[in-house]
Amino acid sequence: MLVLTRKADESIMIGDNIEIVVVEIKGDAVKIGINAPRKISVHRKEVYQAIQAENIAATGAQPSDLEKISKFFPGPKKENKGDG
Amino acid sequence: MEINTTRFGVLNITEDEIVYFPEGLVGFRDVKRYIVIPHGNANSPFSWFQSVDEGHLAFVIIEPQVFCYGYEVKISRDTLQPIELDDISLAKIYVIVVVGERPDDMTANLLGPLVINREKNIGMQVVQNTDKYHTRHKIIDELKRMEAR
Repeated sequence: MLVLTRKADESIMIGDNIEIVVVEIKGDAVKIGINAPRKISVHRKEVYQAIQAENIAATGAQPSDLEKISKFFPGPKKENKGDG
Repeated sequence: MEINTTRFGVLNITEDEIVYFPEGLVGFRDVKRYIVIPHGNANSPFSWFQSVDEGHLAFVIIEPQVFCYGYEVKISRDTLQPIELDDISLAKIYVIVVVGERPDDMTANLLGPLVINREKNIGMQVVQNTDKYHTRHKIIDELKRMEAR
């Protein structure tokens, strides 16, 4: 991994159009600004990993798994509950 | 066309049923074509998000408003560019469900919804930057909360 030392207000360019700016350093937290083309998605790593983990966990489901929970839902989709 | 699935056997589908996810799902970037199959009878709120190309790959999905009052996806218009949508309110939204041993264990990922442009059948999994939702909302708890309103 390339490691660079930067101070507040200094930045790093990645390629021609991605800029990482150190906005503020406060205690053990660093505020970082990212200027990148809109098509580049930027996420906190732990959020991305959490969603990936849930996606993977979701792949094991079988149709029979759904029978137990369906009865907890109130009536047919998008219709009123009826006289219940 | 015919597709071979692990759970549902051979399915006959038409091209216009296919929802194209140009960026796949998080962790499944290379799997880009899916169909939505309603689960069981009309009373079931669940559907399956079945891969067209990987017969074994399918996710349980649900429309979040069925169990979560006031659910909203907060993202910028620019984020929706890949699916050619200007207005999130026009999108079809699903969230992915993880089933557990018991109904109480079933969770929904409200942080990473599937957002689909219905007219063009293009979709994406959005990663929201919000503290309001997380990846494991217990569906039963959300239902109780909604019914208590």
